[in-house]
Amino acid sequence: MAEEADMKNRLKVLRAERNWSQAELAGRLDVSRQAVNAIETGKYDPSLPLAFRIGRLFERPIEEIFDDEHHD
Amino acid sequence: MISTKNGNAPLAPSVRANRRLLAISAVFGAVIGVATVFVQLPHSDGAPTMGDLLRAPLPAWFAILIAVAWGIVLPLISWRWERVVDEHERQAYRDGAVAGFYVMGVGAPMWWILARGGLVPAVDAIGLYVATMAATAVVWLWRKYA
Repeated sequence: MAEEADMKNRLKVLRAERNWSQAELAGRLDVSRQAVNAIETGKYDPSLPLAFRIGRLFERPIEEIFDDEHHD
Repeated sequence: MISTKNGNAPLAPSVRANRRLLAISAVFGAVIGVATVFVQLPHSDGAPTMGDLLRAPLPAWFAILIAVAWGIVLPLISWRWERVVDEHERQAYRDGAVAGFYVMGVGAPMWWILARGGLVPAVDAIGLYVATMAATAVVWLWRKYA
């Protein structure tokens, strides 16, 4: 079985650009503050539906926010 | 500096529903505990001990009532909870449940075999249940907050 790649993301940067707290972002995404923190610190990878919600919220495609560091 | 505190941001609906259901579960457990104490009071010399609460015989009507309440209310709350919590919490809970499964799946046969070898006391169902729930809770909270 293939090992899972480390996923990086720009959530913290995008949140800072809007001057939102983790709690504010969590409220907009309908998740807990712990969920936002876990995603930002790379401890939890969001599902596709949540990744799409994040993309829509920041008006960016998912691949501009999340990067699995797999480049051909 | 990027704020990480709650501040005045309203809680997400899923978080509010999560807390509400956990509070209902806590009240449900407390009611069962208090009811058990009151049912056992007439049969105990003074206040029932923790051992009485966990192992002393109960009136059949009360045992049926609690078993039915536990068997119906808890699954309903759990089902609803799984539907309302956010995916991170759900994953943390499932990681905890897997840990609990391993405590039971590995611990019970070990204890049973050692007991048959006369090395330890007979398997204690409540002891295994408590260990399973404790492992589940520790991993659940660790995965959620760490």
